[in-house]
Amino acid sequence: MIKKLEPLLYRVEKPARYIGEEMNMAKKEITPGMVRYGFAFPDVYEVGMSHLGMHILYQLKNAEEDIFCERIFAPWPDMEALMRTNNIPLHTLETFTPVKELDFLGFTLQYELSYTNILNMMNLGGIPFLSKDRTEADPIILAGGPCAYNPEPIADIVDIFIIGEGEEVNLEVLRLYKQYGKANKAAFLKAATAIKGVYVPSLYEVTYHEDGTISSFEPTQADVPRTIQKRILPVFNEAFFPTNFLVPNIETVHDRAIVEIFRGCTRGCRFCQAGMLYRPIRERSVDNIMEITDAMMKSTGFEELSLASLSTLDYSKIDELVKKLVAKYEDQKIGISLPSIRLDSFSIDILSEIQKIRKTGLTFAPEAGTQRLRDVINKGVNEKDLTETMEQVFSLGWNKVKLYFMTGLPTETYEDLDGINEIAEKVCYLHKITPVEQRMLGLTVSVAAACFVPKPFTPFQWFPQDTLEVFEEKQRYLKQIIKNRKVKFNYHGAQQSVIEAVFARGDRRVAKGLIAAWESGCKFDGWLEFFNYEKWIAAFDANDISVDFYAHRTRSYDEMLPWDHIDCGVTKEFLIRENEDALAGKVTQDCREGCSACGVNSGLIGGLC
Amino acid sequence: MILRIQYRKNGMMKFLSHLDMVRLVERSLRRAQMPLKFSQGYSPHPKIVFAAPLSVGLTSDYELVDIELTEEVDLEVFKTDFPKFFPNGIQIVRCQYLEASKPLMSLVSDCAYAVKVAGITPDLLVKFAKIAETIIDQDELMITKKSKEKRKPDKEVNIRPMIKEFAVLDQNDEEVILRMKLASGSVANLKPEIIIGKIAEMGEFTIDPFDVRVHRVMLFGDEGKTELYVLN
Repeated sequence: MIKKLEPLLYRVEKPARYIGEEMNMAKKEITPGMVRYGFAFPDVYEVGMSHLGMHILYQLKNAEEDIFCERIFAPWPDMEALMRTNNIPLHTLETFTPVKELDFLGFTLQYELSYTNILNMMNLGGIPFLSKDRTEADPIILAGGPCAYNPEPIADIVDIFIIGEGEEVNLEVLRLYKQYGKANKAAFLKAATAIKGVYVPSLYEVTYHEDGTISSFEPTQADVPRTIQKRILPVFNEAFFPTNFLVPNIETVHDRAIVEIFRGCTRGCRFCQAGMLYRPIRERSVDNIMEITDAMMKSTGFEELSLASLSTLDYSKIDELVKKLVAKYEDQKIGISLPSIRLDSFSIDILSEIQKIRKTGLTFAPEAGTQRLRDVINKGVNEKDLTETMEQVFSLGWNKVKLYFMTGLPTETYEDLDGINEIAEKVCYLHKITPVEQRMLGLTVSVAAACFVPKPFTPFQWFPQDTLEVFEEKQRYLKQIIKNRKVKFNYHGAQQSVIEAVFARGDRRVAKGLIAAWESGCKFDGWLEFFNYEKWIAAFDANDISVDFYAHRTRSYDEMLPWDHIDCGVTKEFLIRENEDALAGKVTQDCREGCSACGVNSGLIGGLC
Repeated sequence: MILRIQYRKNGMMKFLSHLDMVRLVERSLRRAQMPLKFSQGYSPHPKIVFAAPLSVGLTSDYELVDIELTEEVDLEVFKTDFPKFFPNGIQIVRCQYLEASKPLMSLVSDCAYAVKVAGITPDLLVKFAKIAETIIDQDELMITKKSKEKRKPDKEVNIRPMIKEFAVLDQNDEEVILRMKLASGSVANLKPEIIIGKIAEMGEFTIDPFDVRVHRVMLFGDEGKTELYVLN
């Protein structure tokens, strides 16, 4: 394989995407009883290698003697074309083994627009799309990650979904497989349903009402659970973390060491799926983080360390942690980066500490332009926070600020859009009034506006998404009112967000549209240069899939939702209550200030969070 | 103080770009916990100087890099441990301490390459080798250099003065192997692919540049008289 591959690598862009050989890559002697697992990321190498979950699950599996986990990324179209003309099947980076020869091919579902890449990768590997068309000669197709919480759009394709955090359940599934082997697929799949967090979609049947909504969802066999509860790592402190992180040989999107300091988020922003899915909050101790960091920096040699979580500055001992890290790594010039920053004065002390080593750009996410709308979405940021933070940021010498917003949020009006411009103007003004001797010249404020996509398991899961026309009209309006030359306005493609919305809340019937879209050439849909809206609409039309039905329709509380058989720990009653409070403009407190009874501590973990 | 390292780049590592190598060397040295000296400012960098960037796809026996250190480390230990910290395909040849050196890249004057040409018919290979034998005896070899700016006209350049040595080492039905020493560095720089293209042009055929394999054998300074490793 490598002999056939090597001459082609001279002819493609960034050939190092396809060579493996990174520092800390797993190397194993292949033994007869070994379970061979392919971790597949349905996007290009630089994106996939930036994903923390892959690093965790890769090294976790490879720490087991009888499991060999290898990586597979989507080849860029130039490489794909050469692979197809030279009959080179999709293969792993570690040993260049064709994926068809593996026991498992596990896809991580990070964003809906990567689904065509899953099909493309299966096709390049010579694996039939539909689970019913596959035999025991094919690998078992596994999928997990945040989009697996609504598994239905690809339920006909995937054999096993892993719902929730993968650390424990992945190993349980692979151990069970060892007992059954490749030749007992049906029995293995059935047995796997006994593992908590495992969903085998082929063992369920869906029926529909005449209006297209779901009327029933039933297991087809006895002893198959009716609902699938998500898995969590109950004890997170001291839990496995890969200190032997892979070090990519080419620059990736997040090209740095990452340590996950806590899981979950207590803020309860109502648009945020991760905030609901990763409950309850679980922290690592400062000592544990320092220990992981020490081993990781030694084994990787990275010049930057990122403290990852959903809201890093909410870590209970963030002050102590940052001071310790800065003291330890100042001499080695290892920069500390915080992926998400809150708008309050407390953050500024930490930022000043961090910039002793390296100065980074600052990104803030007010999400909405007015206090009214920020209350609707439960984003606990007010005007005073913003003003005070910006005053300090500028007086400390920063001159580049990014502001993230969303358009199409529930109840949004044009006043809220005006608010986005007003915030941008205010930021410029605050820079202007900063004493000259303190501020740096050359201010740039970049304002990015994404299009809101309602997601399952959020209080807005019943909410209709704005139509393409409405999104585009709002974008035109913003472009027109943002006149300050110091403000750069960027917006996210509305067409992509509409397709994303169809899959976010789709049911089993949208798979036909997905396959048809792939057949017409759709792939790398998350990349604007490849995304083709017309092809998608044609694929949906040809298969009687209505974009309006899935994306732009208001769903009622009593409608059976495609993901109702998944239990993410947060109850539907809580989500309804939150949705009602949103419409009433009522905010919900941070979990750390008091429990709002989302349900995660009663069903899933028991006791207090 | 400066640590000068000569290393080889081969195997799959040949597909790394120069910028990839800059990152790789820094991270490998950090893994080896070398006492690196850093630049000042908002974004401090270790002081690492490469002799000559190597393009993607080229292998080399002679990559040189100078690294500023704050204190001496035992070089025997460093050499022994090198494979633990650098990926497969990057191997140390030798290393030494220098009190000071001019920037390495400013010392480079010439580069020796071994070049393999393949992917054409045996007949064309014979033709190619015949023309290649005559290169060193030519007084002038004109090529058209495309201007980088759109408005300016293309330039005719004589590349012959940049060819110091040129010989056919071996030939068979599948490939021709050449050895050449060419001007390299900031004053004059000639890439092997340019001459290969010129030979094909003289023989009125084409060679797919992706079928040419280039290996860097040695770097020279001092107008080609001295190998770079010993200069400072």
